[in-house]
Formats: sequence, C-alpha cells, structure tokens
Amino acid sequence: MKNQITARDYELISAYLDNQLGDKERSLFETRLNADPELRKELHEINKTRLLVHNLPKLRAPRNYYITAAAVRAPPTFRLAPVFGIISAVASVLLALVIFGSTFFTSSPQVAMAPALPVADETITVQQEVQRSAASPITATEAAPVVMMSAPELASPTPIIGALKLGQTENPTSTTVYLYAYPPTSTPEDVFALNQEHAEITQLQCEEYYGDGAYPTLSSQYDCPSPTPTSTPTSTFSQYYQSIFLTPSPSPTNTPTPTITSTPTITPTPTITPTTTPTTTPTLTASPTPTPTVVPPSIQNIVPTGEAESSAGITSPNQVLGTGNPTPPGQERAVNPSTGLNVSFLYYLLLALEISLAAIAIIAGIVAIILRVRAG
Amino acid sequence: MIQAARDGDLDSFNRLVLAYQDLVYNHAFRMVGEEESADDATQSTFISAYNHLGSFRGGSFKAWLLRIVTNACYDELRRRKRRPTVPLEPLDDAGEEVESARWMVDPANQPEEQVEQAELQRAIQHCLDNLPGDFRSTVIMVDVQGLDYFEAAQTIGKPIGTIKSRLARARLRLRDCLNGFAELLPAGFRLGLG
Repeated sequence: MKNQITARDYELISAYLDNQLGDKERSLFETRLNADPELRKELHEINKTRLLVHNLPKLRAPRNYYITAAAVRAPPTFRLAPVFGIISAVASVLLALVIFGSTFFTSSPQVAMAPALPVADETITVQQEVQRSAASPITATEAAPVVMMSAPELASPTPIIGALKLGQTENPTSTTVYLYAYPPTSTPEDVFALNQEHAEITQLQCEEYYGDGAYPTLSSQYDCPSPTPTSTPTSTFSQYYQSIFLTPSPSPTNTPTPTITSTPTITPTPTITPTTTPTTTPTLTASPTPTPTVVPPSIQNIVPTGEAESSAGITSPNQVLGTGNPTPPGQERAVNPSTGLNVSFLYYLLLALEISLAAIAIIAGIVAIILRVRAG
Repeated sequence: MIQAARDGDLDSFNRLVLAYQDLVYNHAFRMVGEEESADDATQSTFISAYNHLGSFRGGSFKAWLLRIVTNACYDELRRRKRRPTVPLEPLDDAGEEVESARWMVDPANQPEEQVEQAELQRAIQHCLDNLPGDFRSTVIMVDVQGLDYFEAAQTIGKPIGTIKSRLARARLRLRDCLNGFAELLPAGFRLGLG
C-alpha cells in the first residue's frame, strides 16, 4: 500500500532539508522517513532539485552600476502620469456634480425664486377687480377709455391696497391704467392741492367726453387720456426679450417706480403689474391685444422717481403701483430684466464651468495615458 | 558606509553598489531570465535604493536590496507582458532561423562538459521562468541567494509559514519540470533514479 504524500509532507521535506524544523518535529519526521520509503524517495528528489538550483553559477554584473548625480536627479516622468490621472478623475467628478446641480437648477420653477406675496388683501383686491371687469359688457370694453391712475399724495401713509378697496364699488369695466409717481421735489401739500384741482377738472372733462359709465373706479383720481393712439411695445424684439428675461413678479410693496400698465381690452382680466426695479423710465407691460392709447401729458410732465417713497415705505392711497400682483397665478409674467439677466448669467456661467471641467478631464486623461505609454 | 550614503554621500553609495551589484544582477537575471531586462532592473534598483535610502531602518542591507530588486523585476515582467517582444533570432546560411539564441557561442570551441552544463543551466532557468512570480522569488532567495526563512520572510514581507509553503510548492514544480530534462542532468542528479 502506497502512502499519499500531502502538501504538508512536502513542506516538512523542504523545512527538513533547510534545517528549519525544531528538534521535536525533526525527530518525528525522521521516524516517518525510516518507516515510509515513498516519503524518503520524495525527499531525495526534492533535495536533488534544491541542489541543482543552488549550484547554478553566480553571475557577475556585466558592468558597474555606479549612480551619477544626473541619473539621480532625472525627473521621473512616470510619476506625472498618476498626477494627471487624479486631475482627470477629480475634474470628472466635479463635472458630474455641476451637471447635476445645473439640471436641478434649471428644472426648478422660477416662481420658487420669487418672494411670496406680502399682503393677502391684494389678492382680494385683484379678485374684486377681476369680478368687476367680468361684469362689464364686452361692447363697452371696445370703446373703453384709457383711465389714468395717478399717485398724487406722496405724503399719505395709507397703503395702496386701501386705495383699491375704496374704489371697488365702481362699475366694473376693463381699463387701461397708467401708474406713475410724482417727483420728490413736490411738497405733499402742494401735490395734494394740485391733485385735487387736477382731479376735479379732469373728471369733469372726462365725464363730458366719455360719460359716467366709463369710470369704473376711483373716478376722481383718473386722468382722461387723449384718444390719440400710441404705439404698442409688442414687437419681435420685445417678445424675444420677454421670453428670455421674464421672471416671476417680485414683492409689490416696494415698487415706487412709475409703471404703465395696459390691460387687455377683450379679456376682462385687468393686469396690474408692479416691478421692483427702480428705474426712471416708465415700464410698459403690453397686453396681448393692447388698446391704442395716448399717454396724457400729465404723465409725460411728471418725473417719476419714487425712491424716497420706497425708502420710507410709504405709499399714497392713490398710488396704485403697490397694488400687488393682481393677475391670477400662473398667468402673469412680470418683466424684470435684472433678475432675468442674473438667471441668464448663472446659466452661462454653469455652461462655461461644465465646458472647462470637461476639457480638463479629457486633456488630463489623454496626458496621463500618453505618459504611461511612454513609460512603458 | 550606509550612514554616509544616507547623508547624501554619493561615493559611499557607489561603494555599496560595487559590493552588491553582482548579487543584485544575479537575482535579477534569475528572476527575469534575460540579460537586458536584468541589466535594466539592476540599474533601476540602485537608483531606487539611493532615492529611498532614508527609508532603510537598519537590519540586513542585503535583504533590503533584494526586496527592491524583486519589485523592480516584477515591474520589468509586467512591462514585458504588456509589450511582448520577439527575440532576435539569427539566420543561418540558408536563411533559416537558428533555433537557439546562444548563437554567439561556438560549441565547437568548448568542451563537451561545458556544453552540457550550459544546457542544464538553461533548462533550470527555463523551469524557473515557468514558476509563478511569488514562487520564483522565494526559491531564488532561499536556494540561489542562500537566505534563511526569516530573511526571506523579511525580504518578501510575508510570514515564515508563507515562505515554507511557497518554497515547498516551488520545489515540487521544479522537480516535475526538470524531469523533462533528465538527459541533461548529471548521473548523480537524475531524478527518479534514487
């Protein structure tokens, strides 16, 4: 019967030949060797193999391997490969993060970036305005006069919301409303007196011209425009501009800027669009089907500033500029070029960042591959 | 001398190079089986040793050098595996490739015993080349360089048990491989004849 030589037996054979066994192990192994000829035969063959390898001639170095200072200081080009590889990997990770972030940024609704409507009463006022406009006959809207809503009383601390509430009992009709402010150089007393006088005169003139039914609300505060049509701002450029830069309406409470708003004459929904940008130029929000209107000389003569009012947080009850966001949610798009420009700037900044990171990742990866190939 | 070399004395290090270059080259040649590759591995070993002399914590400088040259040989083998090269075979008068690359040696000018010895050495080297890298380095350190198990374990960075296991399996494979070259073995070394 032939004993099976295991891997453990070969380890014992090697250790025995190299004199690496302890005394006890050596004694036990020698006992087995005496009793097992197969194990003894394997021991002899392994020993012959060991001696064959051990007797290989000791080769001498073909030359001297002296180290020179130039050889030691040679720049290891291979070490640059992992550096570029790491740069490429980091750039790739950053690129993925930027793409994810930009996707999240662009997918978020822009409404979320606008502040919430500050006063709930504004909505009520707008709803009342909508109801009033809807109740007016369509035939009347075709010939609806352009009514001016001026802000004569700069010193009045009454909020603008109160102004609309005061006028909500008027006959509803669709109107074109011009909003503006007086220059801060006028004293409140003078402005109030002038406004009273002006309102009475204009009311009489307007009633004579249009009739009582044409004045839905705040008749004493309206100016009658001349029937000369004005050019509408709706053009290809303005549509493109709005499509790019339109942003949600910001908080309407601090909008002292004179705003010219024309509501649609067909649809009964009036649009009163406040803006937060304090510009000296009256901002015009065009309706889809604007009514040809004439800007009255009273508007043109008034220098709109309103900055002092804005800083004081006080608005006139007649200053309808601060009436909030009257358009139903989701239908109004306020023009705010500054905010739109910021969004566009961020978009292009992200785009430039993505392109830069992609270029870095690609170039660094290619350089790393080239260095590794050159290094073998 | 080692301390002077660690202080940046290049001449002292070159004296160490002179003392150990045969050992390093011999180990490299047994590992890679080619003179050119062994030369490259030896050169890179001494450059790497000089650059990392600060990491030498004492002990056996020979074992430390063998560890470096073993790693250099692994790099050389990997490089050769990525870019396999066809050895330049000489052509005879008929335009046929000469089978043996040892064409530079004229066997007619050597005694028969030397020829047989050279053939045996090539057979052993062939069997070493067929071993896995870990087995090869272990058997070269112990059987060629004469390190004991403890030094071999230090050089390779493995426990002694691993050295024992690798050595036993490497010798077994070498035995099986050399059985195919029985006619080349000396009478007293022929395997299987007791």
